[in-house]
Amino acid sequence: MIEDKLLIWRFKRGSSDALCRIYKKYKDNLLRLASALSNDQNAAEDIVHDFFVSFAQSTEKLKLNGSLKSYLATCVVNRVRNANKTRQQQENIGLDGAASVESNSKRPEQWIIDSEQLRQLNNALAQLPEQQREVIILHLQGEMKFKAIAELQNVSINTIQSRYRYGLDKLRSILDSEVKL
Amino acid sequence: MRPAENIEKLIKNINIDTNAKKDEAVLGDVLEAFEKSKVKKTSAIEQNIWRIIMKSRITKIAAAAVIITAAMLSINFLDKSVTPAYGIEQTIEAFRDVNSVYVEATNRNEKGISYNIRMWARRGEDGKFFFGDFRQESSYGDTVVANERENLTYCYYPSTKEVYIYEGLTETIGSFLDINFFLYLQEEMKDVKMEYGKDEVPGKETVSLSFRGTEKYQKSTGKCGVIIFDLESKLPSCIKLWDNPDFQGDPFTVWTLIVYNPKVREDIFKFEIPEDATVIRD
Repeated sequence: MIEDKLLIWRFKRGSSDALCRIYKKYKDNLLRLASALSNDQNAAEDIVHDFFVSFAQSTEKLKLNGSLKSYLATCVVNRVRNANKTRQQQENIGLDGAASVESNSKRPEQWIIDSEQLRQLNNALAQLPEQQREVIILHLQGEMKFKAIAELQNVSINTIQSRYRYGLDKLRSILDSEVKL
Repeated sequence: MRPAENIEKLIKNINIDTNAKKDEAVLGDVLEAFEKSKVKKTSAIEQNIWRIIMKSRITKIAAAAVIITAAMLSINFLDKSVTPAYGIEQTIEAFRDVNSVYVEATNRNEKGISYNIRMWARRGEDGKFFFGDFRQESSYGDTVVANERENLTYCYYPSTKEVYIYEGLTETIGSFLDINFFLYLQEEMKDVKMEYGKDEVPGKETVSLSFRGTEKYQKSTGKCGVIIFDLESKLPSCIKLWDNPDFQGDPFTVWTLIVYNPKVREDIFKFEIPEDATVIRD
């Protein structure tokens, strides 16, 4: 926490070392988050790249009230949401006329540790309602607190905790049914 | 049924391959954007000033006057260069090399009775406070130990033979010996005044900085205070705090000795619960 405050302080005063440190410290976490939320590693890499480029130009506007980690995660999540929306719109347009094109982007199945259990888990995650999936991923992969997620989703902390609990229950039942099959 | 904890663990363990070459390329783009934005900012400021100056005839004349005044001022600055310039940002930078600290101080309680305290603190993990492990001993025998490895804080009061144990590091050496405080001081503190050359620390050039605290810091730092910085190290060498906003009367706390990076014995941050003490867990 203290280190982050110092990093931001130095970054705002033009230190490229501080920017490098912020990038190296958080890039993996943000990439994991974006990959899990977008289900597409190529898209996630683009999102994180574009985000950091815009972050680098934001020294004047940047004003943090909470933690740097939550701020970065929130920015990336919002970018993923926008990218997902655009992708859905494009897919809807595509359904009317053009033949569907097989995506060559790397699916999470390829980057997840080579394990059947994790492959199943990823499939199960994809079946969850978006809001529940987002809470679970932000909490477990983004290491964000429920309070921060509540602020991000603009709902109460109780709603977030319920979404988390229901999401986990649903995941469990999906995974159990897959095992039975 | 799979236990929920297993699923939580599995999701936490989901990992991705990162490509070092790609990483470097992204970082290169990010740094390039950063440098470009810095250049843009500087030239935008210069252009704005020049536009304002050259817009009217009056300001054109004033511009000439500004240039002459600036030349005179620079001579003046050179004359005063005997006193090294100081800015809080130098203290913030200097704190990066501080790994431990030892402090001796005199405090005054609500009844006006003075007592001495000694404090030790050591940098730890990146946590709530700048320092992690902490120990404070007062001349009354009260002892506070915050142990980062145990993630516990012990407060021992020999007069009542009670030991309070709190989860986490709830105590630290003082919010005014913390980078957080200086960041805050730079951004928001009211009425910060600086005076050079007060000889509060024998043989050292100092700068004294007086401030009035805003509500956020009044509780922990008093309503106003003076911090004396050693101009060589840029670190605080003496701190005085008042419980009134006008520096009236004696300060309620005076830090008379602050030693940076002393060797600290490992057992300083261990707390042995006295045999006859009652333990109260919070």
